[in-house]
Amino acid sequence: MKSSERRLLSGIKTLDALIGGGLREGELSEWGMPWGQGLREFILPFLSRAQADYSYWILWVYGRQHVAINPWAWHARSIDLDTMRFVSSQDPLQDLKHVFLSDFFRVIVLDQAPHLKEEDCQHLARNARTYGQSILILRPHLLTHEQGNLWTRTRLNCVYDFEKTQTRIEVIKGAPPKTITLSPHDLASSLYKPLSL
Amino acid sequence: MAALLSLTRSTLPHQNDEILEFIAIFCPDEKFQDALQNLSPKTMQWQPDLWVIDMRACRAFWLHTAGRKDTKVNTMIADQLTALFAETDYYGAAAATPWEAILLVKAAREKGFHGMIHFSSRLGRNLLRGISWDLWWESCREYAENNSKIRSRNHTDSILSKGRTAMTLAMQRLGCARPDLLRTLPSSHIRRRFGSLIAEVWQLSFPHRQGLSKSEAIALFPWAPYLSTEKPFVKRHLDNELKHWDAIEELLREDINRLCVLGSFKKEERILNLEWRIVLCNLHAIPIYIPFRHPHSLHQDCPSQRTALLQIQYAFEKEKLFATKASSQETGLISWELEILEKAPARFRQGSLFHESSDDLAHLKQLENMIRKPLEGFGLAANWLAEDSFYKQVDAFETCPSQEDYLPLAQERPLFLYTDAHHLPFDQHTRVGPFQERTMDKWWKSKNRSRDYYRMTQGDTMLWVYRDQRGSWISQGVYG
Repeated sequence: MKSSERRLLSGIKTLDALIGGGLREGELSEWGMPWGQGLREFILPFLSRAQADYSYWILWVYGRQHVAINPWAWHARSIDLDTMRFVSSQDPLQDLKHVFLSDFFRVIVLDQAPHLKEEDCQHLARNARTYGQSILILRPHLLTHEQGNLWTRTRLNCVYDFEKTQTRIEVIKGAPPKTITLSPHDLASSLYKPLSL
Repeated sequence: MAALLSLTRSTLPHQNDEILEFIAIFCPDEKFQDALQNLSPKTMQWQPDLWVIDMRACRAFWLHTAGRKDTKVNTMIADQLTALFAETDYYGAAAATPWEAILLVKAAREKGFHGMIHFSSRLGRNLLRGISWDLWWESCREYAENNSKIRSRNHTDSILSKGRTAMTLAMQRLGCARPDLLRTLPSSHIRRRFGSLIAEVWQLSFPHRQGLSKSEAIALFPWAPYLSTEKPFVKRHLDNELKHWDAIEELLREDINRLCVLGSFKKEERILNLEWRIVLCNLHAIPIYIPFRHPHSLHQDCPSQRTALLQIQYAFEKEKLFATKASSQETGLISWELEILEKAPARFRQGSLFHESSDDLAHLKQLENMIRKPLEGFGLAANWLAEDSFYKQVDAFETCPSQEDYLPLAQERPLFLYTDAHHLPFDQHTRVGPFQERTMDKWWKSKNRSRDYYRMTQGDTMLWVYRDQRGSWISQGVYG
């Protein structure tokens, strides 16, 4: 399969179907993910499969201050820590400029980058296309149709229902409008077997 | 007897760490001294024949090479030293701090134990316990010498000999035959009675007993890097004042390329530290230090010198910001000097020390040298407390054996931890969720003995909290 045709899959069938068969390489996707609801766990299946299937290096950029990574939890969710890097940055385009100008990290997650504007997304989209990167932008708020983003191919909102302990994922761009509901069981069943050390 | 000795030198699991911290080695022959830099570019000549090597600078390299050759780091370094000293015996010691390594190697030489001895080995511990007062005082004298050279302190011989006389007398009265017998004596008592110099050495000799952390003990040690007498440098005097980076960059590129053709800078050498000393219009000279995260080859980056220029630009912008804050007027540059402060040699048998191949690690290192912020990689440690269950990786292939037993626990734990666990105030929006786990606390470090973890919801945020024995709620993590 050509690199340009590759898609990142989560392994959760309904989620992969919702986004039209996975996240295409060389494109940006934007996720409305309020902080503190365990929603970032839905990103990890994409990453663990990218590592396992394509041996990709992954970079997770987190802009949230006063938090640190808990590596065991990532490992338990099938992330290979050897080919995963983290960096705390509020302004990734300035701090990590050359990461976006290289094809070393093929999957980059920008988790709550406060200074990321639309023109930055344009720049990111161009580089993602050139270097075959999949860039996932995680916003700490829900996305709306009114405030669009031209440069992202896929836009989704994720909401956790505290009463039903379920997560609702709604696609708002990139595929026909649809909403799915996922339970913790769906997430657990998507995980690869944790890597042995 | 040899078998007995080899038993005492048996390798413990954490001895890998020591050999990658500090090594002290007796090297009387000058012809071997330069070659020691093949172990690590950061060395110090403690005495004319005694060298200290800071192995932390090359930790990644040794781990990577050992991993690739499927051998132990200890074995690889021992092989290097055996090849270096050929048929002559050498005395070496590895420890977590430079001072402990120095004491150990001296003790080993006094007792006639050849080869590399680890601080945490049974032999190492026994040798340190048996250090005599004479040896300790000799080391004190060397410490005073180096300290006065490096920190410009006036610890003259008379101060030391005065303290020594008083302390020797006191020890005779106490019947204390070796320093180790009094290792629990607080350094504050020593300082009051015998002076601050002896107290410092006392602290360094028994850092653990004196409540000194490893990093504090390393910082206290008077380290003076061994610098080759030949430091490659280039100078430039500008025709007119330059303020903007774009104009400066072109000239700097030329200068870096000029460095590459100097006879004092060999093609195989990698740089670790550059100094760019700029002179402003008001003749104020500012040194700007440019450290590289990984040894970098200027020759390979010739003629674009992209990596070096980026790091210089980051340092320059930071300095400029600082200077602009300090004075309202922005001044331009009229001249500068570019000097290589530290470089990694590639001699001896180790031509491949930094011969980067096209593997992922080399790419990653190159990338890390080009960006402003350091990337973080993590390894797993077998520890039940979340905050102690990992370590920062310095190398992509550095892994330590861990236990899968923690997986069931980790599956329920959150992806993010708070950098400072804090007390959680309860309000009307706080709801205690399901119980997660009960974990023993490290009672030897804190007053608490156990932690009961719960998933708690506060507003729209799911937290990972624990209740300690006193009933306080501590928020330790968050389900991102």
